[in-house]
Amino acid sequence: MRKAQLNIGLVLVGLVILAGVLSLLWTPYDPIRVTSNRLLPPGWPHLLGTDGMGIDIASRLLIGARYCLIVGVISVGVAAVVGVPLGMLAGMRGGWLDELTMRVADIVYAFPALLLAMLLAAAFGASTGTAMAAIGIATIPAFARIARAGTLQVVASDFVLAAKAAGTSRWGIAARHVFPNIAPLVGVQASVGFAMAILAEAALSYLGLGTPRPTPTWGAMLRDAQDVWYTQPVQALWPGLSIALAVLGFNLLGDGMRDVLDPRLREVK
Amino acid sequence: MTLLEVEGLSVRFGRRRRRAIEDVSFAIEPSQRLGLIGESGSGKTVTALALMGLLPQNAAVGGEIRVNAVSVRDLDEHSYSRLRGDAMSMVFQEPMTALDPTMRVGRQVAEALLLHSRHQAGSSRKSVMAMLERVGLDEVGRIADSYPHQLSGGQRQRVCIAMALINSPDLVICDEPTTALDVTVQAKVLQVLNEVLGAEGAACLFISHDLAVVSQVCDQVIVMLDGRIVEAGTVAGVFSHPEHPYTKGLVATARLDQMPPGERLPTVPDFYRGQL
Repeated sequence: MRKAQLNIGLVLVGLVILAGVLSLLWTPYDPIRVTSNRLLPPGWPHLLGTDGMGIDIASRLLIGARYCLIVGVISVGVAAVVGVPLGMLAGMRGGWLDELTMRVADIVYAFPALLLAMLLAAAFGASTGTAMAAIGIATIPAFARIARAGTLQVVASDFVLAAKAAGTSRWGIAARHVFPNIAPLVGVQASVGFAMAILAEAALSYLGLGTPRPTPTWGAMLRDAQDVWYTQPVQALWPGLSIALAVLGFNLLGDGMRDVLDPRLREVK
Repeated sequence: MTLLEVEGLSVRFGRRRRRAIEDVSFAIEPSQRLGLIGESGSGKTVTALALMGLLPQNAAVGGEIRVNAVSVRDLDEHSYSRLRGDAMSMVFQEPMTALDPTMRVGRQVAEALLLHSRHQAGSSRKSVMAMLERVGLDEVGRIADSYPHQLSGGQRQRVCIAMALINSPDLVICDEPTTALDVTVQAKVLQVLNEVLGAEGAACLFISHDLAVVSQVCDQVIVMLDGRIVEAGTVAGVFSHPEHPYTKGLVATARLDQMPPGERLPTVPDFYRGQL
C-alpha cells in the first residue's frame, strides 16, 4: 500500500518534471504567438484545442509545468534553507532565543499569505519572483516548527548525550546527529510544501498576483479559461487537472518518502 | 597521583534549587574500580553527569572536581569537550537508545576516535575493527556496517563499550551498563568490560544498584542515599560488615536465598527500626 503510494507519487511528479524539461527543448506550437485559430475544441493537430488567443493549449501546459517546478523548488528552497537552521538553532539553544524564534514564527504564520503576496506585488510588481518570495516566506514557520520539534526530540535522546560524552562539539552534534535524524521530517514537509506552493502559485496567478501575461502558468490559464466558461468549459479542465495531479503527486511522494528516508524502517541487507 | 578527586560536590536543579546531591566527596586512583550503589533517585547518575560536565543548563553545581590534579570546574565548554571521550568516557544504561539510529555503528565508533586523534579515515577503520573485536564481537565487518536497529542489545552495549574505550581513557564511567540486559548477556558484557578495563589499565566508576555486579567488578564501593554518601569502603568490608542501617538493609535484601522459606522477607525500613 505504502509502496503503491510512493510509486504513484513518483510517476505523477516524474510526468511534471518530464513536461517541464521537454518544454525547454520543444513545444508543439509557439506558446506565445497569437493566431486566428481561436477556441478550437480538442482534436488534431491541436490535441487539447486552442485558447481565446488561438494559442495551442498543450504547448502552454508544458511551459506551465516548468513554471510550477521553478516556483516549487525556489519557494520550498527558501523556506527550508531559512526555516530548518532557525528551528534547529531554537531547539538546540533553547531559552529566550527559542521563545523569540517561535513567537516570530507564530506571527508570520498568523499573517495571511495572500495578503503578503498582495503586499509584495504592490511594492515590487506582480511577477513569478514576488509570488515565490511570498510563498517561501509564508512557509518558513512550517519548516522552523517541524525542525525545532524534531531537534528537541533528538537533543533529549541518549545518543546525543553519548555523543557529548565522547567529546562531540555542538556543531558536530547538529551536523552529524540532529540533522540526519530530522531529515526525514524535513523531506516530508518539503514535499507537502511543494504541493502547497504549486497550489498557492496557481491561486496567485489566477488572481493576477503571480506570473503576468503572456507567460503561461497553470493558474493564469485557469483564469483565462474562466472567460469562456459557458462556451468552452473543457478549457478549464486541462490546467485544473494538471494542478490537481501535480499536487496529488507531491503529496503522495511526501508520504512515501517518509518510509524510504528513515533507516530504522530500511530492510536488513 | 590521584586520577579523580571530588570534594564537596553538590548539584541543585531549577529555580527552586531542589537538592539532587549534597557534599559528595570521593577519589579514584589510576586503574582503581569504584562502585557507586544506591536506589533510584539517590543521585548516582547526577554524580556521573556532573563529573562529565553533561548536566542540563538548569543545574547549579558546587564543590570541586579535579582530574589529574586539574580542576575541571574552571574549564570552558571547548576544553571540557576535548577531555570527554579522551581522558574520561562514559557507558550508558540503555544500549537501545545510546547509539544514533541514522549512523552505521562503525562510523559512530570511528567518530569517537577521530574527534581526539589525527587518524586518517583508512587507518581509523582498522582501529575500529580491532576495538570491536576486543569487546568480543564476531563478524566485526558486518557489525561495523550495520545500523543500531540491526543489532541486539548485548551487541549494542559492546559497541558502546568500544566507543568509550577506543581512546584509551584514564577513567570510564559506567552508568548501570548491564541493567537493561538479560542475565546471561549481562554476565558476558561484564566479563568483556572487566577484560578491557584491565588491559587498558583504565579506572572505572561503576554505577549500579546490583550488589552482585558491583562485587564482580569493583574493589571499592560507596553507597549513596538521598543525594549523600552514607557509607564507603572496600567491597569486602562494606558488604560483610555494613555500618549504616541503609547499607545493612541493602545487603540483607540482596541475600534472600539465605532466608528460611515461609518467613516474611526483610525490607530496608526494618533496619532503621532497629536503630531507634
